[in-house]
Amino acid sequence: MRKVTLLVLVALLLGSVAPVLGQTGEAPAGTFYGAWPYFLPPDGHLNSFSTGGPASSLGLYYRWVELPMAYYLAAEADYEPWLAESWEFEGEEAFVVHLRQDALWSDGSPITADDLIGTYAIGRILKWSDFNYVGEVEKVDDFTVRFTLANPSLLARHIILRTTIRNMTVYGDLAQKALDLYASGAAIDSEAWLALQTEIKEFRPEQVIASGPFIYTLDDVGDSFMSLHWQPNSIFSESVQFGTVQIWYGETEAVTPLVLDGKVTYATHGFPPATDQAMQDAGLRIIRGPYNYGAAVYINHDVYPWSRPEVRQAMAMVIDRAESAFLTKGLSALPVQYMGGMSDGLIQLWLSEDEVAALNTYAYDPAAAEALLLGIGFTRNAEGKWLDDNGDPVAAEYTFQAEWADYGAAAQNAVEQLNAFGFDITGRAVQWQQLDEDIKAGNFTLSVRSWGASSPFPTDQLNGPLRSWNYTGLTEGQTGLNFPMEFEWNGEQIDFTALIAATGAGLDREVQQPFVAKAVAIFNDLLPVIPLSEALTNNPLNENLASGAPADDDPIWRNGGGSADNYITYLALKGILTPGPDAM
Amino acid sequence: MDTLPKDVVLSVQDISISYLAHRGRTQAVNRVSFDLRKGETLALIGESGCGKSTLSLGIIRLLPKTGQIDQGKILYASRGGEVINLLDLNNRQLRDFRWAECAMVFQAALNSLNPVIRVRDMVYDTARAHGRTDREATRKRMLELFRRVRLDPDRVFNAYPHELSGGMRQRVLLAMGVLLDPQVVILDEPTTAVDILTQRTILEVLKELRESMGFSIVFISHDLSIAAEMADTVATMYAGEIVEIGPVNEVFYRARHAYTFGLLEAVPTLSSGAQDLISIPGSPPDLIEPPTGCKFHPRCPLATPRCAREVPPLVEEAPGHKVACFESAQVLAQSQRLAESQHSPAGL
Amino acid sequence: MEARPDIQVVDSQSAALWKTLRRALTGFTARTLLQGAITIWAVMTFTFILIRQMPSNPVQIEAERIVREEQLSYDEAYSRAAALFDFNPDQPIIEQYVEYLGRLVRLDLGQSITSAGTPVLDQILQYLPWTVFSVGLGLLISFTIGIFVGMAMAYWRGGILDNVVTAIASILFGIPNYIIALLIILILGVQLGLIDIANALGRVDPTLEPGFTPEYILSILQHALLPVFTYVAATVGGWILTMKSSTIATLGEEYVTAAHARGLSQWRVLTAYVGRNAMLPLVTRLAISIGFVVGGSVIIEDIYRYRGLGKFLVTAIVARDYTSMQGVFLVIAISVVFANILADVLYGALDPRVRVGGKER
Repeated sequence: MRKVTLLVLVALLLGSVAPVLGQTGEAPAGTFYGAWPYFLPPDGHLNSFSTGGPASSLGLYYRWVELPMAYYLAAEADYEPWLAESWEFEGEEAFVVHLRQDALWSDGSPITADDLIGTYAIGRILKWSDFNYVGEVEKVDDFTVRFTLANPSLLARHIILRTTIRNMTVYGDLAQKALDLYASGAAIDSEAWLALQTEIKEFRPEQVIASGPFIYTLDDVGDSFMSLHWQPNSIFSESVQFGTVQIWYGETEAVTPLVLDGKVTYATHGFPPATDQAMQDAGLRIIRGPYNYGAAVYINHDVYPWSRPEVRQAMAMVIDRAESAFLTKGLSALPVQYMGGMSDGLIQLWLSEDEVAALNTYAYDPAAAEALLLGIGFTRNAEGKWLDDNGDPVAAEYTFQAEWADYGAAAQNAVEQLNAFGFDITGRAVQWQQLDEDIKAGNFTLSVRSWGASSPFPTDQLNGPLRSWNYTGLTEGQTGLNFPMEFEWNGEQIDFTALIAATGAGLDREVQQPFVAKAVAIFNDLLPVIPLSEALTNNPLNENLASGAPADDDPIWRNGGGSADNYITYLALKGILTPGPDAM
Repeated sequence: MDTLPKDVVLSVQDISISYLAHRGRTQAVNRVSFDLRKGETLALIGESGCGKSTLSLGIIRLLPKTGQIDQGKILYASRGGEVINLLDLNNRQLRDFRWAECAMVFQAALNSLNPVIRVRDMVYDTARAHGRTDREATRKRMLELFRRVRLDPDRVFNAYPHELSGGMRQRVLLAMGVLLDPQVVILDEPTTAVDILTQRTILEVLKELRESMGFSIVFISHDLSIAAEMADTVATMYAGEIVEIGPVNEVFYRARHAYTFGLLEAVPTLSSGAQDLISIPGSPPDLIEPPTGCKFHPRCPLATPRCAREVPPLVEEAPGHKVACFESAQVLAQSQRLAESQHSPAGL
Repeated sequence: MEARPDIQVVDSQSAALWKTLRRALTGFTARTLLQGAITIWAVMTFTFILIRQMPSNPVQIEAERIVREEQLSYDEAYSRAAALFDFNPDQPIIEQYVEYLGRLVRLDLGQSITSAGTPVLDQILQYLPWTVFSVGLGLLISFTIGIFVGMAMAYWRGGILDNVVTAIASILFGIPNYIIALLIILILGVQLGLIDIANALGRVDPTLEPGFTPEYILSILQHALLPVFTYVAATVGGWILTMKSSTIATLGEEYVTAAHARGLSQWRVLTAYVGRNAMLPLVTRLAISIGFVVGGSVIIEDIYRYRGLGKFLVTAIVARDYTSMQGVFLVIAISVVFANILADVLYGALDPRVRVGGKER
């Protein structure tokens, strides 16, 4: 009790002192201890357009150095303006961004439309996916940029706003070459295009000019840790309460002892359940945010009887998802509730109460499953094993990733539960990348992979399994799940590909909503894959090193622990998270 | 203070040596005594495992760690006439004693030479260990000795052991054995692993060296014909004991111990063909639990119940000829018949 | 009419050494080099084909990372990743091979795929010295301790030293090095707090200016302490036990007894007669170990955050960075081949019986 009180007192004290510090332009005291497997020179460098640069090397801490235009708040499905001040669609023609006029680079110069245009000029040469939606990028005035839309989509807004702006003192020459090349009408992948691409990728700037409150040089990159230093000119320089960010090098195995030893403020690594328990025992707070995806039973729809929806529905009823979730990731997984191909949180966000209520939750009910199978002519033999309507045993091999403890556990548990029901399933471990190839080639019967996607957009959620793993999104000759995307459902001819595309088409969420509801209902009924659990982060947060993190039910935790839009980024830059007693 | 008769250089007195084995203590040498006079060649003969090699290692105090000398004395008269008990020497004194006073040439000639260094390095090592730091003098003496054992001195001196043939190696060992001019040289089966011609050469150079340098020899062999050619005195060992010892002609032509007689019978001679070869039936006794009485009695064709009961004492039955056998009279009669048959034309 | 420089008392040692070396090197000529080159080429070709048969490719791996980190859909992530790498998965493998070989003969290892613009050679030069330093030092210490302790144990066989060390060595020999490393970190570091695991790990204190300053060198040595200790702990048992059994076998040799019979000092017998012969079987093992020094120990480097070539190789494998992988495999192949040649030379120098060129005259 006393410790908690003390923590609160310290937090309050710091909170009152902090603005004064900011105003004097001096670095706040206190260090944030992160952990990430960053790149070491020569692989690591300062070109954030190229792999090995800050963008790919620093993980979530990249956005503490170069800010995006806006921060996505998952719980509200809305954006908080950061470097942008506001934005709007001009009909379906264009998307306009107005930049803040008071935002400065670390060298004191203003962040302007030229920086944004230069960033996109280089991005175009690098074939950024933004240009799936964007046509031209035009300067309206010093702080306004107009993106003409080749393909109007809310996804375009999402991708543009979350893009970080790069400094043209550093990248100006390349940006000019890119603009000139584009203006010359050079074809994509022409020799000049590829040459400039190579030049961009091989560019090695000597310094970072930061828009975020932290900056570093290659001298700060050590082999066991690297440091980011506070700089006074960012829009977050006054609010952030840490003067230094020290990032320990390492992947899970290397970082675990540091975490347990209380040397890490926050880590995003995926820890196994045993470590999870050890971290709790060490008094660390575990942040469990959604990943928006999780383990699902993948089914080869070419193989009878798995191609029958009744069989898949029966499977959904005989696999106890609570048990499955716990065995998969302990407390860091939740059983899937709505079985709609989207994260339960997103289903609640997108569907009306009635629409949610109409979904089949496939509660654990072997008796109902039994009735369902008997109803389509399946029988049990003398040993109680199921035979299909042709009299063949309901038997299959269930492959899973040898290296993935969580998905392996999910698969083995599913095998056990299905066999307990009277199926004849054999599990087999396969090297994970090999298994990916097997699934894509349709060389499997049952397997385990993810439903959903890390992206919170319904289109991406539904396409998670149905594009990347189904014939529609694979290369010629690969069948994948081979779930037919055109079928009759409730007496209506459905083009599921088109329906899913419609969930993201246009700029009006209200127009998209009915398509989302319908796609979810179809998924819920046909179960192209059978969702089992939704993964949660198990990011340790050391409250001796950082105070002020909100309670577990705070909506910010819905943001998840990825690198973009990470909740800790928000809490730290906004000054909500303050140095704890051990971090001063 | 121990004393020795004037011409005795080495006197082994009542020596027992045992090894510690898993099953118990092995009595490898049991109360053995003999004297070695200056210039004398003593042949120790017997089957393998009879304790003759153990005895020789015991004399230079090089028993393995599991072996120990339980009792007795080994007296040695130095050139200055001082008599020392080798069992009283400390390590330092022992190292000085070895090779300079008593050298030993081991059985397996190849294995006695360090395979990874040159002959000359072994020579220099030996000389330096005995304070002879003048390498040039050592080299000259060694080359001279090599010449005397009919080796190509320069080549052999700089060679590695594997570059020499078996016979050459054996002569290298012989020559190295007398490098420091010892009074006693122990030769353990020096001709076992070589062909008959090489064997002749070795025996000849050995005789020449003995003649010119005058050292005494303890000659260990199971080959009676060689023993007969080289030795002045012959001792037969059985199960760790000397069962018969005497002048060479006495022992060979008037053997008085059934075991010695058995060995003599087993020798193929020119006159007797290989088919006549009689080997002694049975095998050497267990030395941890040896037979009662005379240890040879289980294999002895002449054994009586008394032999199984009592241990025959070693008694001098003829001048200088001692034997430990209750039936020595019978044996003597047989061996005289054997000797006659071998010398008479009828034996052809 | 030049007099042959025969054995002079003063010069004889160095002359003999020189002669030994020269003779050992006589056979090590064009043929040996050619054999080595063919071996390296074969390994290079084999790995070239093999690593490209692994499922997935650099673009897919990077796309998966982007999906995870940036919350984009796979398609978006894939198109971004594809443009980031100078890698065309559709180029026929034989074409890639010819290109690679063409560069290789000009001693150009190419550029890293996943870090465009970074020469593979630079990457290797960044990581190799640290691995060679830590693993090499560990091997050296381990071998030296093994030789001396193993010999001592054989000499005082059955004594307290022998019994205690045999027990310890057998246990250590059976424990994989990463378990030792984890135990050190978890028990000494986390539980007992004897080691400051936050700052004792890594290769050097990152706040120090690199250079030949006492602080920097001291820091390198301090940071090498744990990995080197672990390498030693994990391998010394093997060296000790091997040396012990080899020494016991040698002690039973006739020439050792013969050397004692010649009155040689204990020290001389132990070094020139016992030690040198007992070491022979260990030399081959040592050379093989030297060959694998550059490969490092992946897990140790990971646990101690000691970033060396092993850790780098795994990172490259995970990212499917073919050119970087290829570069590391090449370096490993070269060092193994070189170590084998070294073993032959060394063995020849130590054992005249197997010397190349055979008998004198």
